[in-house]
Amino acid sequence: MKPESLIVFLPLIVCIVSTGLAVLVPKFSTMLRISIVNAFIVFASSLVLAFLVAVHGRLSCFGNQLFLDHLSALHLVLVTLIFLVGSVYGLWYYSSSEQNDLKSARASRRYGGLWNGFLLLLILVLYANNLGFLWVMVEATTLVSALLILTHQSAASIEAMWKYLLICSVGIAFAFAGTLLVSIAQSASPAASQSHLLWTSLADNAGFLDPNIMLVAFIFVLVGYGTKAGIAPMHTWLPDAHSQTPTPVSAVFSGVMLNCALYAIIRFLPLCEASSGFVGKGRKLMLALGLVSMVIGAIFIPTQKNLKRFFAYCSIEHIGIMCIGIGSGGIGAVAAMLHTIGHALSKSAGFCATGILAKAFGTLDASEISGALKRSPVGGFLFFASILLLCGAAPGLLFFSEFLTCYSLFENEHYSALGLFLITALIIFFGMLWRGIEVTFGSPSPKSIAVALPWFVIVTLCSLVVFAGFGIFVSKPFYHFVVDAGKIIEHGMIITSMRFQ
Amino acid sequence: MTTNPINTLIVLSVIITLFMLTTSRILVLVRSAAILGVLLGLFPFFIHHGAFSIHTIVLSSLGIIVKGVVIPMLLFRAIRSATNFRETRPHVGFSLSIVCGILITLISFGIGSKIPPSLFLPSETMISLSICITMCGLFLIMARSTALAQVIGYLVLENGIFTFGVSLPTTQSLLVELGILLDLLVGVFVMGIVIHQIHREFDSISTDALEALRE
Repeated sequence: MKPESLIVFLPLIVCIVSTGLAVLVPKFSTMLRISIVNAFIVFASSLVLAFLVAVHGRLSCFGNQLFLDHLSALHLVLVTLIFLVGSVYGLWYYSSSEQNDLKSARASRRYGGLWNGFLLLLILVLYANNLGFLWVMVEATTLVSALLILTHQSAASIEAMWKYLLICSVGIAFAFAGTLLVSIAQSASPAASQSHLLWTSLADNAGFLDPNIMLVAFIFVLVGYGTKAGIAPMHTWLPDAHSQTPTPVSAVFSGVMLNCALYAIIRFLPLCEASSGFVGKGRKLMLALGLVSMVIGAIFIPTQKNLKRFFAYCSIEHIGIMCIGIGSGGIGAVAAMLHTIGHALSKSAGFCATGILAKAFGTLDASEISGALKRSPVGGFLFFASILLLCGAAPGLLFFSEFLTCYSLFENEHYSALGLFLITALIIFFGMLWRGIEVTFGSPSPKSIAVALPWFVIVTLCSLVVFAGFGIFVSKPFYHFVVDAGKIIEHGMIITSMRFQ
Repeated sequence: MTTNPINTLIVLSVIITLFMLTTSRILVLVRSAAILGVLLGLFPFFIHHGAFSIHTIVLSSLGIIVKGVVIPMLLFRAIRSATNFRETRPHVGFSLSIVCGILITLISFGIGSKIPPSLFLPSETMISLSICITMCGLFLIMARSTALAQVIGYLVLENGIFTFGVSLPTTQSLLVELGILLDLLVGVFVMGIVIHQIHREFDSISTDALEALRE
């Protein structure tokens, strides 16, 4: 084991320790501070890990059962960053909350254990090299996050949790069948016995896998993990679950949990593609489901009154765009990675802003909210900025990723898909902008109250928006890192001679 | 052929699965699920032709304990907290359910016989059985309105996929399989909690009460 691989364990150990501490500490505010420290250390170490991956390439440890490459490192940094944001925001959100159901020691312990445990499990999803272990971890995240929906107990949250639990469990059972099919396909390949279901070994020997079994396996996986990722038409749990959770949890759900489920799918895609000699059958399926998600978004986004449901449908649309990017092939995979980053940053800022507006206006109903900019300048600004970014306004990351997606669709001659993409994107653009203008400008209702935000929340959320807005100008190494992650989606490994640089 | 214990187990499992589609009593449903879990847990002992590794023994016995004892106990506890013992208003009636169940069985064994033998599978009847049980589980989830019956449907579905895993010649790593069992256990536990919550909030365990969130 290389010495740098030892850092791989740091986030795990910190998470385990802080989950234990959070369960032991009876006071809610102390628990929140532990979560912030945890998220901060884990975020810092994930940056170091990403740097190490950029320098040394793939890191592996624990008998090659855990590994980290560009694709997982990119997701790891995002997951830990959004958890840091969620924890910092939570410190303000819960302290100013009028609902007292988290103040008891029992509720505090439960929330702390679930929140930090959720982070631990998401990190393990990204570390997993064994596809069976990946499945176990994704299922475990479902169970933990289901309990997080019940943070504020009400009839609606129970309903949301039941739907989430049942639909995702059934979906993930299908993903398990897909994983088993991969194991059948692998039994014919060399080195099957000592490296059973290891992704690295599968990717290196993908040419030996039976293409037909791999395609069936990919369909199962796409439907299975796709349910958790919120890809239409398996998305029905998503708006309910997102709208019933406390805002920091919604931000994490939308910003990273969906991405982690999509991450599981894109681990299987190169295996399926490489086994059939890159004819693109698996990619076409992703493209088709991505377009369905865009259509669902175009139908429901303009009509949503509840702001959280509005953002939830927006997540379905954006997961759809990522699928379209990956499905179009070529540079589309890089576009999808850029989109993942941009979406995670702007969507979590959007959810946090919604939480601020909900406190100022006492409701989530968009028809009762107007003049947000006057009542809460920071909240209104963040809300409008995140909507602009999510619409794909230039020069945001999402503008570039959507532009690259269009380019990739055009280059690979998916003209009808490009047409449908542009039409639905246009409908969604106007639908979102209309809602954003309605809520942000105008005169506020007299019932609303001014909300004072502490500096740390303002700094955190504004930096998210700034990076999502101008992140593309950051630096060449960042861009190279994203390109390398895209190559892994495309080919299962980094091929230096690939066309897009 | 008649003495092959695997075929006997397969026939028994199909009969129990079909029986589960006909019963309205939740208690009977839980017991049947437990018996099904034990039956399917016995497969590994016969399928590897007596070549017992410690791996097989540990895993199968754990599977039998979890599915035959622990999960039914969790579900019985959930029933005790809820008073609704009968499925009174299923979305699909019981006689129609059994017709659907027979159709599912026929179709699954039809599909099973179509799978080419080149896929290194030990027995196509096992694949047929796993498809049949999985589909019946899905059917239970859709056709029943009480939360508990839906959880049992989920269990049956999970059992079907387990059967598929058992019929594979390759052995997964012990860690992964233990993880899967643990996930199943925690999953049912969490669902039990929700059943309790649904009962407390809505005063019934029918999921028909859950219809506030929709477009």
